[in-house]
Amino acid sequence: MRPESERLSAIERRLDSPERRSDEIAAVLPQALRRSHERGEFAPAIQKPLAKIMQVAIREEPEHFADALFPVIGPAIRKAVSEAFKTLAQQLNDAIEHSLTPRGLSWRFRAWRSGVPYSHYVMQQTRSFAVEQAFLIHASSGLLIAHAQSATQSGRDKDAISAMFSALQSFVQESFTHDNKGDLETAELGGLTVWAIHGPSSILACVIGGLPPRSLRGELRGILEGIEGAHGELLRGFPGERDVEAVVGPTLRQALDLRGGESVAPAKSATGTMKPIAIIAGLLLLGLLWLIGSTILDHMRERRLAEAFADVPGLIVSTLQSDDGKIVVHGFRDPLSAEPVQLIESAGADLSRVQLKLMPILSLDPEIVLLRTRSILRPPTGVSIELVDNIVQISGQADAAWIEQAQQTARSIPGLEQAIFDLRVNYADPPEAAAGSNDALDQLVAELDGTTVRFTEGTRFLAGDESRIDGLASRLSTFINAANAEGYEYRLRVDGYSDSQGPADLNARLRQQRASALASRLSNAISRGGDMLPSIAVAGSTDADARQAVLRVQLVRPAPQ
Amino acid sequence: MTGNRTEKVCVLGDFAVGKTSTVARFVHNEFSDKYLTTVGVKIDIKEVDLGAHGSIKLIMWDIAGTDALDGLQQAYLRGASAYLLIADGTRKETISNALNLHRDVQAIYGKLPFVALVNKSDLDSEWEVGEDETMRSREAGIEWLPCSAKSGENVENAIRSLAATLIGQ
Repeated sequence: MRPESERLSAIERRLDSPERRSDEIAAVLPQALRRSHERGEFAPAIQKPLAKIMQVAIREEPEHFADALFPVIGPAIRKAVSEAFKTLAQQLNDAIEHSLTPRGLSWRFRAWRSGVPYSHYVMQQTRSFAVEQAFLIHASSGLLIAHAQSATQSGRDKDAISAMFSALQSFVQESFTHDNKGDLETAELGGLTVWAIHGPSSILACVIGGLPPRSLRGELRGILEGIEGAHGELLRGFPGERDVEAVVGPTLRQALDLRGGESVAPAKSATGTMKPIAIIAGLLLLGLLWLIGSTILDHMRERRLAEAFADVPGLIVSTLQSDDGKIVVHGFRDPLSAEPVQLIESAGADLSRVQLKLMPILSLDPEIVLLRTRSILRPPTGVSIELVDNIVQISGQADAAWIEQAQQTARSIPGLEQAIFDLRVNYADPPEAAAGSNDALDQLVAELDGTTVRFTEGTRFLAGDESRIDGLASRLSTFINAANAEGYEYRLRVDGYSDSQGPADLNARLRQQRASALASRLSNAISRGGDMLPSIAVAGSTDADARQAVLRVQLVRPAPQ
Repeated sequence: MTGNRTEKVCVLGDFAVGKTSTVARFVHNEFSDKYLTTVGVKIDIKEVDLGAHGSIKLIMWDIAGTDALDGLQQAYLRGASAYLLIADGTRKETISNALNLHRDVQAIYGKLPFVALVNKSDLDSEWEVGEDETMRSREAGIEWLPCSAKSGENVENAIRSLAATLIGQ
């Protein structure tokens, strides 16, 4: 019993002595922790208490943690800020670069269509890239840990590429840096970019086609951190017995899913709204086409109408414009000019769509003057009123009364200052009294009728002939007095002639002027003698080709007995 | 990664001892020799099948000739599992330079498996390596194996022996 009681006493002393128990636990604690860690139990067990301890410690003694983190936090913040600025700079560059190009305008339209801000759309589009291969490389040895590539890719031995990349990394580091620090992060060749993300144990090197955005680095870094975080032990022990590629491969393949550009944009919402937008766009397009078409048609109608109204005698169009679906015509019109309705119909225009605002005028256009003359004089059969060289010519045979009336009326017709009269008295009903008339008067008529006065040029009389005019006027005055005394009616007329040289219109005018000149001269001479000369008709005549004027004297009918 | 082991093996030696031509006959060339002159290293691949012991893929880093390790070459050696040390039997100074390289590697990276080859064994008449060099090497823990890049003598054996050592590790 004694030894047992002594052992029990010893155990009791051990248990009662905190120092001894501490020493014993300290002796086995490292091994216990190691075993617990190997069984995967230690970390989960310590996680919450440790987090709590850190919270309390940071709250109560923040300065200690600030001091401890100071060397780490500065570079980390600088790196994060630098990455953010690089990303922002690239996005700005992309936005500016694409702002006014045809592609940029196309993107602007698509952004509008899909309801996405333009800047977002540019960023989305400029992410036109695809990660084609991903190498997970052991940082120290350059050995390939795992590899993933898209189905379309094939190439050299990936182990050799991995090693060569690592060699190049060392080469650049040794050759171009002062302190052998820093990492090879980017290599570019043509349309291919190689980006390397460096972790503590491994390097994620990705071959990227297209234009990767800076933000892709963050996503790749996330993948590498995921691999390093989950499989850090495995990577540090590489190369080992386990097939590391099978473990990290699925995570690594996520890098291949990082792609951007036309194939993924615009977002789903855009495709969802595509149909109604297409319909609206189609309707808008139809409306636009209709507007353009109707504008062109209006313009063509206006032009056709303007052409129809152009050069119409007696019609002046000042403006012609479309207004509320109608074509409004402003201008001036002589009532004798062409009927506007007929002009509109001839132009193929719709009458109901043309509004006329025409002020009445008296046109001096020769063709209108002709119509006006016909309308007023109402020429009998045998008389024609035509335009000859833009001068109204009245010619033919009519009874003396009409001729006299016409000659008087013609003076008051607007625009008819220079009509040419070429009229013959109609003798269909000759004066019967002529046979039994007064011999003296007949003699005077025979003497006077057909008296010719010649001209040198223009309306200048030939000198010898001019001297005879006064005598002629005297004899004419005698005749008039005798006829009046005897109660005879008579007709006096002067016909003017010209030669055929020179322009026809000038000659026509000249004939009229010569007739007037002689008539006027005779009238003046008779007036000076105290007598009054009844009106003398004047007319141009083409019966003879000569520079002359001829006096015509006729006894019309016998005076009543 | 095919499931086989992959190991990094460096090839070291003095200038013009025939490192590249020694391994060239037995490796799968992936890159042009120009990398050797521009970047100072060339990567070749050698798959060694050791039958029942499995197979191993050796990533051979053929490092440009040197008699001492500079910073870049040290960087190339980082992470190597083994190395081939090559000298030229017709130039005995290459033996002592190889010994220096061997010491440098061990000093920096610790004891690594290696095989030492003396090239140009086909040039008997010009052979310079004698008993002195052999003895000095033996003291340094190196047993030189004569080989010929020209005939292929011992090269394949040496590489297979190194591979077996790596697999046995």
